[in-house]
Amino acid sequence: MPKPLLTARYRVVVRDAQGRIKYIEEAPSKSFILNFLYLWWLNFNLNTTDTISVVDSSGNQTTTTLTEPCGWWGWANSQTTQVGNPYAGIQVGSGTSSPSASSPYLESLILNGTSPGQLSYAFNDVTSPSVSSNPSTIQITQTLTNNSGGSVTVGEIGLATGLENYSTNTYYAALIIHDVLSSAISLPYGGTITVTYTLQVNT
Amino acid sequence: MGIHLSALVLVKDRNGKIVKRRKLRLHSATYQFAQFMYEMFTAQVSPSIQYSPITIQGMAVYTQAPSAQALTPSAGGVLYLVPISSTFGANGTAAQVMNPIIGLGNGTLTFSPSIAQLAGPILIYSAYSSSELTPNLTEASPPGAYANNPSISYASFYFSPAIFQNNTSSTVTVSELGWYAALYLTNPVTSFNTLMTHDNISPSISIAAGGTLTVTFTVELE
Repeated sequence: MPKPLLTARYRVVVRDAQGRIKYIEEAPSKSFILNFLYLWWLNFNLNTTDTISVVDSSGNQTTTTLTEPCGWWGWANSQTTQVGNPYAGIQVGSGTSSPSASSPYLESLILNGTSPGQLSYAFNDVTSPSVSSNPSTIQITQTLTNNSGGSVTVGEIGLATGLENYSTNTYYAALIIHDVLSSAISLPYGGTITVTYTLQVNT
Repeated sequence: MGIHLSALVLVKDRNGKIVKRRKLRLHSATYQFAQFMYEMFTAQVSPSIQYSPITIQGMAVYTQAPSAQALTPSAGGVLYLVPISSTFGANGTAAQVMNPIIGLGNGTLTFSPSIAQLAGPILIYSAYSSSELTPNLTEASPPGAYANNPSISYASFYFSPAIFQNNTSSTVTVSELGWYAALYLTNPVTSFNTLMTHDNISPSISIAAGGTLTVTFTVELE
C-alpha cells in the first residue's frame, strides 16, 4: 500500500505544577473525519444545499449550508481568538469513546476557563512548511493549563480548522481530526498538557 | 492512516469502446499542498503573521496551457480555498473551463516538492486558439458517509472537466497527471489555481483521434 498523500501524528506531554514531565504519548493519528472531505469538496462546488457540521464563534454546535463562497482560513489564529478559544485549532475533551468518521465533534469538549473541569487554552502555535523539505510537515501546538482547582481528565484530542461564510462574514470551526488517547489522563491542578498535531504531506 | 488520492483513467476509441482502464495512486504532493494545509490554520487578517517570504506558485490560465507564476501574498492577505466557480465564473464559461482541476501533460518530470507546473502541459480547451483536448463538464456528488471508507468521487464534480475528447486528427499522448486547487487571495486580489499533486503516468496513455479520456479523482479517508 503506497503512502497516503496526507498523514497526521499527535504528541501529548503532561507536566505537573512544577513543570516536571509526567507522561508522554505519541502515535499516528487514526481518525481524519468526514468533515475534512466536505471541506475539500467545497473547492469543487457552488450552490449546493449540503451542510457541514460546525461550531460557531459562540460555541454552539450547528450546521452551515455551503451556498456561499467559503474557504479554510485561520480562525485559529485570528486576533480575537488567539487565546482561550477551545473550538479552533487543538481541542481536548474528556470522552473516551472511539471516534466515528461521521461524528463532527469531540465526545465531550473541555471548555476554556477556571471552573471545575475546565482548562485554560493558550495560543495555537503553527509552524510553516519548508519548500526544501521532503516530506513537508506542519505542526500545530496548544498548551493548556489546569487552573480549575482540581484535577481534570483528558481522554480525547482533536484538530479543527476555520470556515467562513464569506458573504455574511460568519465564522465557524470544523473538526477534521479526532483521536482518543490510549488511556485517559488525569491532569493535576497547576499542571499543563501540551498537544501537538503534525500534518505530513507525503511525496 | 491518512488521506489517499487516486485517479481512475478510462480511454475510449471514437466508437465509444473502452480500450484502457487504469487506476493510478497519486502520491506526489507539492509544496503548494503543504502551504495550502498551513493556510488552513494561519491565514488571517492580522499583520502579526506575515506571509512573506512565502511564495505560492500560482497560475492564471484563461487562454493558454497551465504555466507557473510566482505569487507573493502581501501582509494581511487572506488566502481562501474557494469553489472554483466563484473564482472563475459560472459553469461552462471559458474562464472556468480554462482553469482545470485536472491537469494533463505529455512530458516527464523528476518530482521535487518545489515544482509548480507540468513538464508538458496539454492545452485543454480554448475559445481563442486551437485545442488538443476538449473537456466535458459533469455533475457533482458530495462525500459519502460510508462506515469505514468515506470518499469523494471527483468523477461527478460539477466543475471538473473530467471527460476529455481528442478532436484533433492525430493521437494525443498523456504522461502526466496533476491536481489543481482553486484559491483566492485578498491582497493582492488574485484568483488562481495551484498545483497540488503531480504524477508521471508510465507507460503513457494514448488517446486516438476522436477518442476520449475520462479522469476520475477520488479522495479517500483511510
